[in-house]
Amino acid sequence: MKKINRQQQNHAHSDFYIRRIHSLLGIVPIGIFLCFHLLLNSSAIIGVEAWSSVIDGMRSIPFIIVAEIGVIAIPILFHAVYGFYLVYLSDLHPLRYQYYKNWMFVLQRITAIITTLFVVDHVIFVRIMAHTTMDVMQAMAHVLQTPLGFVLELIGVWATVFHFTNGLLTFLITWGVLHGERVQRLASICTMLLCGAMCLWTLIILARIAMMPI
Amino acid sequence: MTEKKYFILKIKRQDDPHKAPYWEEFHIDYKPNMNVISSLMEIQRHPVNAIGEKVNPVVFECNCYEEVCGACTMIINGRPQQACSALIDRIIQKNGIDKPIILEPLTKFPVVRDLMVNRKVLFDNLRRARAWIPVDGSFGLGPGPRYDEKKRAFAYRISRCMTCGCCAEACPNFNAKSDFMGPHVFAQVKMFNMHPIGSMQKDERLKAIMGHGGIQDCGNAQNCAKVCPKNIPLLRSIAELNLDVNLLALKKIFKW
Repeated sequence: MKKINRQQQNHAHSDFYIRRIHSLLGIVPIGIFLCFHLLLNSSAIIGVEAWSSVIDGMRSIPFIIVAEIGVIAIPILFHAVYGFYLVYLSDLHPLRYQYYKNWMFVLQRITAIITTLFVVDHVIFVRIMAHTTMDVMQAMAHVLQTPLGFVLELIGVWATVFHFTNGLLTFLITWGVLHGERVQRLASICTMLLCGAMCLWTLIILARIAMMPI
Repeated sequence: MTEKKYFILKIKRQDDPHKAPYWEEFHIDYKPNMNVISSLMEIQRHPVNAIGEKVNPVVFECNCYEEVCGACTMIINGRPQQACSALIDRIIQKNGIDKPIILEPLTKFPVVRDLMVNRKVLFDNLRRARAWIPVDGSFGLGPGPRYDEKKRAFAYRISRCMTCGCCAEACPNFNAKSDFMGPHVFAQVKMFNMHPIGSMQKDERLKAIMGHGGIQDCGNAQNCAKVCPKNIPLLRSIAELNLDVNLLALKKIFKW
């Protein structure tokens, strides 16, 4: 809405590229990492031994720290920092425009903030401060064994799952895959079913960890 | 004898661009087949508010009275729409005659006075996106290429856009913090890019909407499509342009 001079507008395509990189990073690698992360931790459903051997396996990969920083930490940091700027840029008025997609738009921004807080907490207590496999398991189990901790952890995980699945839908629109309104609606239903399935799945994982004798 | 019936207009007024807005109510004598414009004209004829004070008549814009010009766009009961096609009978049928009909000026544009706003930025943004076909020249170019009928039918739906500003008003990313061009721009770019002659300058328009405040600022809230009075295919236009700009970007970077 502000006045902008013609010169600035002609050569400045940087916004476009930054936005597209932001969109891409949400799925590759962050979304893919999230899926693998949940998949690997699904071993907790089988039992303590299965879970600890998977964590051991992950921790024993040589130079894993390089992948952790390069493929996970830096992309998440960029996605979060630029994402916060995008949250600031939009006016949220879900009450004036009570349409399904507008609610999704608002929830995407609310879950962005919850997810960031959750990830920071998760990284500090389960990665940086936990040095051994046992530390990791204890860090998770101790939080989940208190009712408040369980609820907060569940909110964090579900916010992340929603942000990922709804982000997957907008990713497909942003990258020009879904064109028509009907296919967008169908994809919206599919991603929300995926969201529901992942929420149920993560609930089972968290509940199993909470019940572990650690 | 039937008692005299009236309905209430609750209007957000503002005396000039720099003064604070205030609310004022008016009682309008009910007649069948009124719309919001004709009720505002009643106020012009008899500018007395609900508590009997004589006030300055409410300022508003209108032009065509048939929902094709967009001049009378305002927020009626919370929804951006044209005052001419907001029928009093239908609103009363839905909400009852006692519930005030709330009129507000559009919030994303500078208020000139009362319900009148300056929608210039909408037209400026069409210019930013080069949403026209440059065919002017000093000699005749002969007949143009034929227009594919399917494309023409789709383009016709877009051509009904009257730049009223409802989409921009409802868009969460069109605001004072951003330079977002607004949803209507992308429908027009799509239309001119589909045109057999317009498609010759396709990339120029795509580059323009990849610039500052361009298509990348769309956040997929999709309020635009919900409030559009003309059912312009905004979602499809934006989605298809997304593919076009991405391909153009790939071509530019990797010489694809």
